[in-house]
Amino acid sequence: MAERDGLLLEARDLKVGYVPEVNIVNGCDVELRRGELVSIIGPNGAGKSTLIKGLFGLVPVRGGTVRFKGEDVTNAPTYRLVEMGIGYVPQTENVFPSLTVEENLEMGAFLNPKVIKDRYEVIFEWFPMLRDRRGQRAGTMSGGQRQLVALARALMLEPDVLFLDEPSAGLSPSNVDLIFERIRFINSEGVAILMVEQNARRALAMSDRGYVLEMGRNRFSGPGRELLNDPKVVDLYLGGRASGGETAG
Amino acid sequence: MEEALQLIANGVVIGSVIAVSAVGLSLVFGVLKLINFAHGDFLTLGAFLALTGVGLGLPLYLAAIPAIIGGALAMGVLEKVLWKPMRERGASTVNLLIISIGLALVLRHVIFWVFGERTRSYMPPSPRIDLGLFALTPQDIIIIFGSAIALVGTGLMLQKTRIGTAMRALADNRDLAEASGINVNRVILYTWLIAGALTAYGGILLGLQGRVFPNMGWFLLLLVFAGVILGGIGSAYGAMIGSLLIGVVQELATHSAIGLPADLKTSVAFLVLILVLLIRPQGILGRKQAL
Amino acid sequence: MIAYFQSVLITAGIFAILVQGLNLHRGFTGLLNFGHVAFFAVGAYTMGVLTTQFDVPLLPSFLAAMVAATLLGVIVALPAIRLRADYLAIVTITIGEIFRLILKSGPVVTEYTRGPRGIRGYSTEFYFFRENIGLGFLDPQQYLLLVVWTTVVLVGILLYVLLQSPWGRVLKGIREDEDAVRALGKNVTAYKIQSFALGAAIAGLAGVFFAMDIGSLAPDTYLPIITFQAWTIMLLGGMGTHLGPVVGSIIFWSIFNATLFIPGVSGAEAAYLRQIGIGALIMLIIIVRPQGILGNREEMVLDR
Ligand SMILES: Nc1ncnc2c1ncn2[C@@H]1O[C@H](COP(=O)(O)OP(=O)(O)OP(=O)(O)O)[C@@H](O)[C@H]1O
Ligand SMILES: [Mg+2]
Repeated sequence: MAERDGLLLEARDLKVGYVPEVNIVNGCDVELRRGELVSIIGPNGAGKSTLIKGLFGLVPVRGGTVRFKGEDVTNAPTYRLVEMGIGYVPQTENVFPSLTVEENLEMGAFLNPKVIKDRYEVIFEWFPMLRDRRGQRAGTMSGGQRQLVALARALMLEPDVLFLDEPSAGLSPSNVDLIFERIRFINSEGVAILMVEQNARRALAMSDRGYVLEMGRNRFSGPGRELLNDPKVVDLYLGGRASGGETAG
Repeated sequence: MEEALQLIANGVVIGSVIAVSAVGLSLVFGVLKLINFAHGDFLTLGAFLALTGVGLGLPLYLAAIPAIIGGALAMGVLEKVLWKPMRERGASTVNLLIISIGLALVLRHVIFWVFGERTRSYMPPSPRIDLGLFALTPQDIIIIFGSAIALVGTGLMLQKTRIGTAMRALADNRDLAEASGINVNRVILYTWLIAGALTAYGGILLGLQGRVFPNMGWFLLLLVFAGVILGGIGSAYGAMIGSLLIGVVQELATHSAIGLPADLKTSVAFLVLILVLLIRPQGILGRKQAL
Repeated sequence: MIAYFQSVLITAGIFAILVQGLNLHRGFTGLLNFGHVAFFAVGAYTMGVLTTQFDVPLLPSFLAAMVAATLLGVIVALPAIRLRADYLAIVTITIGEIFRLILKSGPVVTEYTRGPRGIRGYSTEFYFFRENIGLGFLDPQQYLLLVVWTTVVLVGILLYVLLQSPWGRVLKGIREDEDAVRALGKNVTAYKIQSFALGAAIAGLAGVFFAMDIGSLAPDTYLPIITFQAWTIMLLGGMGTHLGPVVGSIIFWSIFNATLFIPGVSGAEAAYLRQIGIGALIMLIIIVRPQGILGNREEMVLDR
């Protein structure tokens, strides 16, 4: 079946879990269109990371379906999804510490080594800092630099979709700015992005749409700005109205 | 002094054999986190496969080729029928380790059963050649160079090839390797094949030292562990250095100024191992670097 | 024929005791001890040397054997305990080998152990002793059988009681989740050392009986294969169960001895086949039923 209305990724009634009988994600729906930037927010332990891992074939899906580019890819092996055009940046440990920057990128293109040389040029243009450090071991880099390496690695095969799990976690404020700026840029280059973020306000403010996840289910969903202004979302997940400074605008 | 130099030279010879074995063990450990207690008996297997070739009239350097291929295939087949299914069932590393002990017993005694307990050799012993500071047999010299070639080759494979880089990536972070689209099972299979080839080769070098017997690899295994741990487990480069050190230390322990019975020299190597674990559990090269 | 079954049962009993010690380490505390044979050997040798060369009477020499094994347990535990499970396996197997090599060729030590020549003639008093306790009507084999199996029962009861106690619950906690126990403020290292010491003492006692059974001591009796046999028995019966060592040992030695009657196989070949069988059995148990015959998979989190 072909892809409809630019609907790249579509998950219906997804159930994902680790231990038998315990579904961490329990009936989630997610959609992602070409070129969109979509955020998933929710409290700690809501199952956000698990949802992404389920979509990406890293944790078995127990119920529901995942379609990508019109094809049923529920429980497809991860390398197949990478082949089809998904890149993924995990929440933690997202670089190979003993490999150099260049080798990290090379591993990102393991499935299609022919593109490596050309792709280096694009990547180094997008992340100039990496060009100067191409021979440096990733393990010796700062948190912000590592996050860039991780992003770059996931972009090596020119994916149509990028899954980002808390890309700003643990970074200094200036690095957070840098990462969000680069994410917006990558998105503007036509890569659809599905992003889990703790930094909910900023994430929603830059997103086309957002999902609020709680206890493994969709609690709210809608355009990013609408969620930002929804009093219930604000009260429950954005720490109340008072602290908010970036509503509509 | 003269005696010490000779002992160091002997230590480098045995250390070279340990190093080749240790690198294979380290590769498997780095990629799979499995301490393979059957590793020693795969050394023996390689040595006996080559011995079979020699028995059929082949010169050793030709007999080595099918032996090395055989060693690689043996480890590759076991990956397919044993290790991969066990991993997929979620077996813990401890359970895999216990399986490898069972495998070691099986393999060793199959060799005993097939070849008998008699000690054999590839060729009659040769006299030592005086090299000025010390004397070595031609076989010793072949061992040192043969080991150096294998070690450099493995190093290049790890550094320069895509599959080598993937092995290091897997050793670093298996989940991320999978998430990057690396076909993890294929890389693991290659790791076993390379480790199997290296191990068979190491067994032949061990046999070149003079004696081919069914316990040869098992007897070497603890020294190989010592070399690997001394260098920092999981680090292939560390394993090379650690192995040479173990070889030299255990030979020097028999120096007449120390006067230790030769039977006890391996104990000295083992004591070094235990001391290192006590003082610096991560080994000499630490664990900063995978493979 | 009866004598034959009795001798099999004696071996099974001795190994049941040995494995009760190992089971305390691995089954109840989660410690990967692959050097168990060293405790077996130190018990045997302490008794043997004290009896033959220092004329120490029976009971003190038994006691000394257990004390020596306890000490060795502590000495092994000190470096080993902080290590990761797989390192611990390497270190313990290594210590076992060092110990054997020292018994065999260590300077000074061999003056007492007589190196590869070994020791004999230490068991007279043990067998005489049965007259003193009114068991003179038993022949030596029956007497050993009785003593060994009484010990199996006593050790079993001791371990059962200990493991129900708060102390035992801490050990099991360490097996399940070491960090959680540490978080409760327990000194995990101390508990592990105690477990190691007690298990070693039990193994040392098994070693004494083993020495009485075979009648002579030689270093090369104490090869790592003894450890592996003990592991096979433990895995077979079910580690972390109280009856596992007993059931495992009886089954193991029944099969082991049954292979002696396979017709048409020479002595050496039969020996190799038995070793192959032990190895295959180890693999098979882990593959098919890692919890062993009596184990309960749900209860035990051994996948660490
Ligand atoms: N490998 C695992 N095995 C078993 N349970 C797991 C595993 N990983 C996560 N969980 C459980 O799943 C639940 C959801 O975890 P998940 O990481 O998906 O949450 P999250 O929404 O990403 O939270 P956070 O904001 O902390 O990243 C948690 O209760 C966690 O304990
Ligand atoms: Mg998360």
